[in-house]
Amino acid sequence: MSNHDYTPQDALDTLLRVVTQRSKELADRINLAIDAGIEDLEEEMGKGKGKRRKVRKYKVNRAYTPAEALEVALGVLQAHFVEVPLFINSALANFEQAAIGVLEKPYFGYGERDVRKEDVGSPKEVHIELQTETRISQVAQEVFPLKATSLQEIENQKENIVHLKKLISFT
Amino acid sequence: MATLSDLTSAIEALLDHPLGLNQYQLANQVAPKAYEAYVFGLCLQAVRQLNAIPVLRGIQGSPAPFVFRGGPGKIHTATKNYGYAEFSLNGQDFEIHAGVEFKGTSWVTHELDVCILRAEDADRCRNPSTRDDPPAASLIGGWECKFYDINLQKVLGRAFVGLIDDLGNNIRLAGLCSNKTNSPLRDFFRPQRRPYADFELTPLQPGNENIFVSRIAGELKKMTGL
Repeated sequence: MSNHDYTPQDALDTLLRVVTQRSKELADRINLAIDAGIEDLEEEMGKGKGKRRKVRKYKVNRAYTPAEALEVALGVLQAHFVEVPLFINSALANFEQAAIGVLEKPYFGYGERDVRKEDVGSPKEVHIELQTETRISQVAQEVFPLKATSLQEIENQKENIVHLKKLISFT
Repeated sequence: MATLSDLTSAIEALLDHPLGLNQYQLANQVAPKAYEAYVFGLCLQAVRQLNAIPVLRGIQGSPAPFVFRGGPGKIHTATKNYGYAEFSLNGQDFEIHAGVEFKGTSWVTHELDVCILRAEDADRCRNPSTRDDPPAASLIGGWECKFYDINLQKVLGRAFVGLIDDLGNNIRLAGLCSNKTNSPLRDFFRPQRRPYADFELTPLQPGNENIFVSRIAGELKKMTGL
């Protein structure tokens, strides 16, 4: 029995309307996810009589129901708002535990490398290249520095997701 | 009983949070690369699980800052100081790279989002007098990393299986990593010789992270006789 004063379709329309007003790009991502549909298994009784009559299964592509589409939309929001900061935090934490290698003397591709290991346990600066080697057009920013997000902020946003999930759950 | 007004407020709270739309607009362009950096970090973690210290290096000097390639590239490139990691286990040297191209058995080059290869082959390919793409035989492990906000598409599986097939039989570990999942794709990866389906590989599923890291550590341990 639903605890809500609205139907799944109402909720979906509201979610898409609010997101579209704030970010057309994000709304397009959500619509792309919803319009991908789902591959489902359908069953039907075969021909024959009595015990010979077997269930036949086959796959169909179908659109998501409004309730399913809401879950898909929430997945898109969670991926961008919670998972991406978590990926960055995890990467930076693992980089922190690695050493910076400093060559003690030049290495010419043979023999042993004489590398001094430094800064294990210290934060490392990690960048993602935006102006790639092959790109002719200039981008505004050559690199994107990865920055850690506080766990408190991530937990707060997770709670927002959980709260929204309750409001779009109709079971 | 919740109303549409409650729903609207909840959506706006999500969007207005510092990790909402502001964060999305900043980080959206690098989200796929951030996922590769995350998987690269898990490979560093696997090395530490074997009590070795991964060492960050730059192609042309100190890896400070450590730069991830924005697109597929050559291991021997001299244009920028891209980062990689190296480690030693039981006297054997290896490197971890992101976005580097390998020579397949068909001589077509293929990019691997994250890979582990033998250090001697990497060194030879970076040497100015023997500059080349590393051969498929130098590969220990290779992973395709797909950050998706929608469900994975089946075509990814077919493409990756084809890529791994062209990288020969020496590769010991291969997997399609994604924060999402897809049941038919999981079935497609079930046969023994197919890559692993490292789906729902995300900090939201620590169990899956542990499985991924332990699999790499286990294979490295076996291979080096540790």
